[in-house]
Amino acid sequence: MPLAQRARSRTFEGPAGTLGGHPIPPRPKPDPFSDPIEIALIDLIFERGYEAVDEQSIVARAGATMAEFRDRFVDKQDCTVQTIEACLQDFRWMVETAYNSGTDWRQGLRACGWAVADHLDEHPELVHVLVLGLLGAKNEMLRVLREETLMYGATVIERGRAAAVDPDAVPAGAAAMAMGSIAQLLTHRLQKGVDVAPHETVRQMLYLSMRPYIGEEAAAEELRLPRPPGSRVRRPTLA
Amino acid sequence: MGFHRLATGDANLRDQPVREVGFGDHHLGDLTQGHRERIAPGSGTAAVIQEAIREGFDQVGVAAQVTVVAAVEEAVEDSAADARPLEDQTYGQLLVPDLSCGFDGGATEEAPNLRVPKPPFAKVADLGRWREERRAGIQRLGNLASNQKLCLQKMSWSHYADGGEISRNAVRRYPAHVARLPQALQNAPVGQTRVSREELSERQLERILAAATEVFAKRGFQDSTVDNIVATAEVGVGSFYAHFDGKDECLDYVCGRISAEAHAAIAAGLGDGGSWAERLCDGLHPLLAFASANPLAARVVLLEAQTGGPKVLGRYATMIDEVVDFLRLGREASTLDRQWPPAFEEATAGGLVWLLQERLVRGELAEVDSLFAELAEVALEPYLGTTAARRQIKATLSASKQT
Repeated sequence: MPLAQRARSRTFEGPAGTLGGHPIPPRPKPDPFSDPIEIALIDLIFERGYEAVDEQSIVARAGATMAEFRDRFVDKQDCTVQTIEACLQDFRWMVETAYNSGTDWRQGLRACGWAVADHLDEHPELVHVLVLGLLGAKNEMLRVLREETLMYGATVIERGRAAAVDPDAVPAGAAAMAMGSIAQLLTHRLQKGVDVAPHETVRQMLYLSMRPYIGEEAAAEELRLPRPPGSRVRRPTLA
Repeated sequence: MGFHRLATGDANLRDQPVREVGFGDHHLGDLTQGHRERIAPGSGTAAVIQEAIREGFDQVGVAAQVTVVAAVEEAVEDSAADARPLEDQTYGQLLVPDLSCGFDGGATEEAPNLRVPKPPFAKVADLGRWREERRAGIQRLGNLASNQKLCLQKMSWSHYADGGEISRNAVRRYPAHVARLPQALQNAPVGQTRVSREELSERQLERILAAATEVFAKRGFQDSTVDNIVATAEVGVGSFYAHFDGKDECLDYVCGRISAEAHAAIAAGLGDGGSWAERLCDGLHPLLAFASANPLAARVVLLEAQTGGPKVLGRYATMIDEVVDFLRLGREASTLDRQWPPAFEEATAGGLVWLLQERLVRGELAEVDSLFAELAEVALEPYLGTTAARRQIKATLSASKQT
């Protein structure tokens, strides 16, 4: 498909980029960051842990009625799955929006990194729930959603293979290793209760992710490069 | 029939022909006719008993002898209290069957042959020693279950008056399942040394830990219950709670135990000295071999531990920190002109654990050598460069094949 056609088929709300072939998914509706029930659920899981939260407490925190809850969700588990799915869809929208602001894989990944750092900084409760809270959930579906998100991150990094000088020389598990490094670092710091400090580590994570694809010297530049324009993703306000 | 207890001071007994005499639970009612004939009236019970003992009682079983010994002991006690010597003045030399001579051939599990060859007799210096030897003799019947001994001790003389096979049949009067305790109720296999309470507790703990590892790995920690564990371990719930407050503490203990075993595997692979790269490889390969050989244990430590309580999470975090600290030593060992960002080892350690978790979930731990090569290159390459890293990996794999 010609580049121009690929650009026209893309739907996005951020600045238009020149990268093609990576459609931006639509934003979830309702917006999980505006919906009272979903906000209440995330806050409660953050405060008490998933197993300690019940439907009554969700409804009470949200200021809603049980009828309104039942109108949308079957039970707590269904509410959690839908909320997490909405959050992850929003995450993908954000990542792809940032990625498409770049002119090549390096710029795109760099923009992604900074956008994710903003996301971690602005939504610490959500990050805690996604990274740690769902680890202890008995619901297998929730753990699968967590793994899927991490694997999605690996696919974005793996786009660098096409950008590598010698794609065959890149280890097969390079992207998974990089994404796993980021995820485990995040998990490790949250488990220890220390500051994640996303804006302090983003350049290091970019260096780690790009090393297998572009080599040591080029990747080391990432430790010094400034934040790129287009990495600040703004969500449209709710109409 | 009347039972005449050999009571002290009962002068009437002296002249009583011996018919049936009872001593507590035992009675010598049915003495063999031969004995009766040899014993003249007025000889006194003691003489009768002595005569019977002297004959060796080789036609009756050990249990009968035990019975007789008990009876004689009682008679001696009463006589001594009465200050009236029994007919025979040789109580100092009273003969007691040596019950340690064991059983003759043909014993069966249900009814060990109680017929004893004419036993050697041991002289008894005094009553106290006699009692001790009697007790020892009963203990030496140890191959019998405790209830069998009880049965035998309670049996009356008349059960085996005919001697010989009577004794065996007497035991057979009790069904096998009564005569012998079920294995599960015995403290120890019959005839073997009893297990101490401490050792029993230790064995239970090992069973619980093995079961907990299996249950946590297969069901997931969150979905596991104490009931699952005790059912798998085949122990009681009380036994579990004698060791742990709950499944959280159990998981922590399991993780600690597995971690110790993993450290031992690493230590076993490490030689004396060696470069940082050599030590990394020499420790990593046996560690992966350990994980491959113990996939359930690996799953508990690498996956399920992240869903445990604060203590277990702390232990998991400590494990990561140990890897980070070791990787950071690579900076000193490196001769490359490179700068590593502050969080580099932290991220690398996380990546190594992540890769291991992925292989574990996919059931690919068995390919130890290929997994080792992949992980070792991730760890070594930033500090040694690709060529040197692969050379070190190759050397380690060659060495491991030779051992």
